Amino acid sequence: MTVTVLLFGPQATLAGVRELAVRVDDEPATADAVLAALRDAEPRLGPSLAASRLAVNHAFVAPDQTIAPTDEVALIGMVSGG
Amino acid sequence: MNADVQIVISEGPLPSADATPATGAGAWVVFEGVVRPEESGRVLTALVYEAYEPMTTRELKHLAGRVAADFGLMAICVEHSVGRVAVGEVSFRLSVASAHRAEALAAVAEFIDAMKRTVPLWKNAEFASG
Repeated sequence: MTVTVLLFGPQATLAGVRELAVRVDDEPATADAVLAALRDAEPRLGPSLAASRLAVNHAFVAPDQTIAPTDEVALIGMVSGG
Repeated sequence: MNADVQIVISEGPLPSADATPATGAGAWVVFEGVVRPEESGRVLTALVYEAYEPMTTRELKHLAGRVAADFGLMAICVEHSVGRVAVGEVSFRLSVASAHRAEALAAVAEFIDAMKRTVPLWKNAEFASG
């Protein structure tokens, strides 16, 4: 399954794109698997991923949350509000 | 007692504060975050803020509600900019009302610490050229 992950802030700058399509072979795909796929697809994101979380449909999810093909997935990391 | 919780995300620098303390409050603490003139030793001209709506507002509301409950606040108002905010302008304002000052001051510190760890908001630096 291909999952498109939205990127923001410094992570978008590191990757040079605002979204990244990653291939996840696990069926069903989980949040953890998507993070691993991101690490493989874009090594420049690697160091920031340990402190990042995935949001699915605008809500933080657990590592074992399954991802459906119609879900909106976003990488939330290196936040700097305030 | 349920606190009055308000979240406002707006484009550009925040306007001057005009909120007033909740009726009966003995403490009204207003914190403003101002864009500094330098970042990592370089001269800054502005910060450009990004949000991921509606998740940003939802997370701010959840955090504000939790802090209000934990500290027994009467009211909490969170204002945050998106888009460009120049040096010296206000990009963030947190206003809290409580019966006494101790809980208001502690709530402000807790809210900001948590916001900086978890809420989907990002700042991108715009540096002076040359």
